[in-house]
Amino acid sequence: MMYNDNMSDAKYNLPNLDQLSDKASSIYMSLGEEFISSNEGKFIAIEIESGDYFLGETREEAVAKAKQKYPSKIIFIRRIGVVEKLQQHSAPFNYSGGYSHACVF
Amino acid sequence: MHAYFDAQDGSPKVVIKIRGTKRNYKEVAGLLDTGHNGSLSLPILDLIAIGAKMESFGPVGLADGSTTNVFYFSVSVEIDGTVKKVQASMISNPGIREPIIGLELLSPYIAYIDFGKKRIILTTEAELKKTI
Repeated sequence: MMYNDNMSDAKYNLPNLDQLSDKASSIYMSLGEEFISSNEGKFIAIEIESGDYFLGETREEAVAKAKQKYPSKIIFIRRIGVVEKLQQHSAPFNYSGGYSHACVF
Repeated sequence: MHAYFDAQDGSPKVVIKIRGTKRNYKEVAGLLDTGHNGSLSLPILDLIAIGAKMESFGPVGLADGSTTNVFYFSVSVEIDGTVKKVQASMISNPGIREPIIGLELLSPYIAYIDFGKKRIILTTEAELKKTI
């Protein structure tokens, strides 16, 4: 599995993600169901200490808006209404079958 | 854009150039993962090598249905001469040393992957129309 605990946050001097995430999630949930449903699919960037949030059509846009106001802060970012999927090495590409696959990105 | 099937592990790879705060770009071959809805995930060693700056974090869903939080770093990606600035997630498992390329990064390219013939073609809609 991709993300496991074999590399602790403390070892690499990274912020405690669980604590930060709890704070950010409570801010996100306090925005209410109406806000979430009317902005579903957009990205929200939250500065945790102030509770300020910024919306964007992409993750990069939302983070850029937040960093403009809070350049030295670590920003919480998520897609509104859905959690993005990172499959990451879960499905090996050792396809032996003779099928093809087309993707429009 | 250079894309190919890796003879060793049989997986589709795409070659991109990445840059963080350091001046030079680093060329890497990443696994093209059609189940990855984000832009790019990079091993921590690559993030260190390019001096990427951590900017954000957030929840992501994994293939087993669970959710976890990941850090995102600001990374410039050069594809076919065009530079895109993305929030690349950090691969926290040090055992994984290969970048993972998600669907967002390759937009607006169209990929044709033939797993039988081990062939991958990345093209644009305009290029595709020329050949039809």
